[in-house]
Amino acid sequence: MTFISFLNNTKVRKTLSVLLALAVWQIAAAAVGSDMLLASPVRVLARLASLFREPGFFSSVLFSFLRITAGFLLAFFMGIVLGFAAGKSGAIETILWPWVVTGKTVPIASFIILCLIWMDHSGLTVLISFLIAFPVIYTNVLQGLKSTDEKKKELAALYRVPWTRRLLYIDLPAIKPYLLSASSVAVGMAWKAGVAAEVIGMVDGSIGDMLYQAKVYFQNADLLAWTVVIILVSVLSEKLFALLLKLFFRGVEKL
Amino acid sequence: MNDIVLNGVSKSFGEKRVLERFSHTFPGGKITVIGGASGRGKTTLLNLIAGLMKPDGGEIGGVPEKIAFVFQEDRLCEEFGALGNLRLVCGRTKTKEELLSHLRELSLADEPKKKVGEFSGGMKRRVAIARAICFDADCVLLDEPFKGLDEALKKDVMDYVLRHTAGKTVLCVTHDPAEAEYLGAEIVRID
Repeated sequence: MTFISFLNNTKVRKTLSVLLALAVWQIAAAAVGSDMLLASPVRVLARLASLFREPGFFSSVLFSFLRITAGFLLAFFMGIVLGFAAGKSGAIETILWPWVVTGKTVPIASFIILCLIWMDHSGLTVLISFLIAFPVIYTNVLQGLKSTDEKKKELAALYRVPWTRRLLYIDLPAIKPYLLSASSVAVGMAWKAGVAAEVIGMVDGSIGDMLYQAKVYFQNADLLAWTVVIILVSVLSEKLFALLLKLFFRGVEKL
Repeated sequence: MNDIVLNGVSKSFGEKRVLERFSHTFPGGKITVIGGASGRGKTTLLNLIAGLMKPDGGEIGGVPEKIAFVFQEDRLCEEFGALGNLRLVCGRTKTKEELLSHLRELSLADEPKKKVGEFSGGMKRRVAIARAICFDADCVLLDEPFKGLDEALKKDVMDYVLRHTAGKTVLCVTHDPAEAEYLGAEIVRID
């Protein structure tokens, strides 16, 4: 392998770009010269290693994980059910339209503050994760159903295929690519919004609470280390859910 | 089995008149081959009989309730296997062994769960034909069903259709006189 072909490898190029970004970060941290303003990547890595050993670490991660996942799963199932209902009935689509548009356009901070006025902190993360993920899932399911091949629908009508089999053999394959990409996006968005809600709502025992405390005590290394944790857990959740979804579709296609 | 009676049926698409006061009686329980040059309304005629289109004028009567249709396009669920595609129209009314027997007759039983999207054109065509036959309809509409099949296989597939449609009303559109002759059917030309 020549050096040029080595550089043309996508994985190699991505690794090099990450290393370059880390080098820029290290240089910037050295230039700032203050861990309170910008901790270096080495310092953040060391803090991350010590974070894993702290007693409250896993309980905080689990606390946020359970609530954000609950909000996402609620959005996932409601998005599918209502997306199907809207796909089959224009009236339902019209009724849901203002709610979905509101969910898509209203800034998440406004939702968080409204929720804090209306309810206590316990359900905040679940509700905000739900509100941010629902429109993504719903819109994509609807889009997938609208893209269903008209000729297959005609065939199903001619052969008097009942709705259960139509769902299995025609509708689910039609929404599959839409649902896979929507879920991937929605998991990431649920994590971003869920943690933001925990920070603003100062939800005790959550990852957001840890971020808030890091900000209050100017612990930049803590802030960045927890950010790395959020990214890792969010990406892991996304990959795990994508895998489960693919396994589900593979199971359906084997029927 | 009732005859299918078309009386003065007309159909246009915009300015283009495809069928002009067409009348014919297709005998019930028999195979009829519909021939004629391209664009003369053969596919439109099948669509009208299947109820997928409404005629602009005239009447269509005697059409059985349960109709199977092999369209010009295969219209298969490509993510599923041949077995899944048969299940789509049969559900659990037929056992797995019965469905596999249909696939065996068409040399498709080796990999019944292999995705149809990975099949060759000829294999897809056979799945579409098996799907129509498995539906156990009173009337089977075939729109150029043997197109794309190689000669050796074509006879096997035609034999399969003949075996399973005995006593049913079958309307088959084809351009190939040899196919019409093999099916031993009355030929109606739309010109």
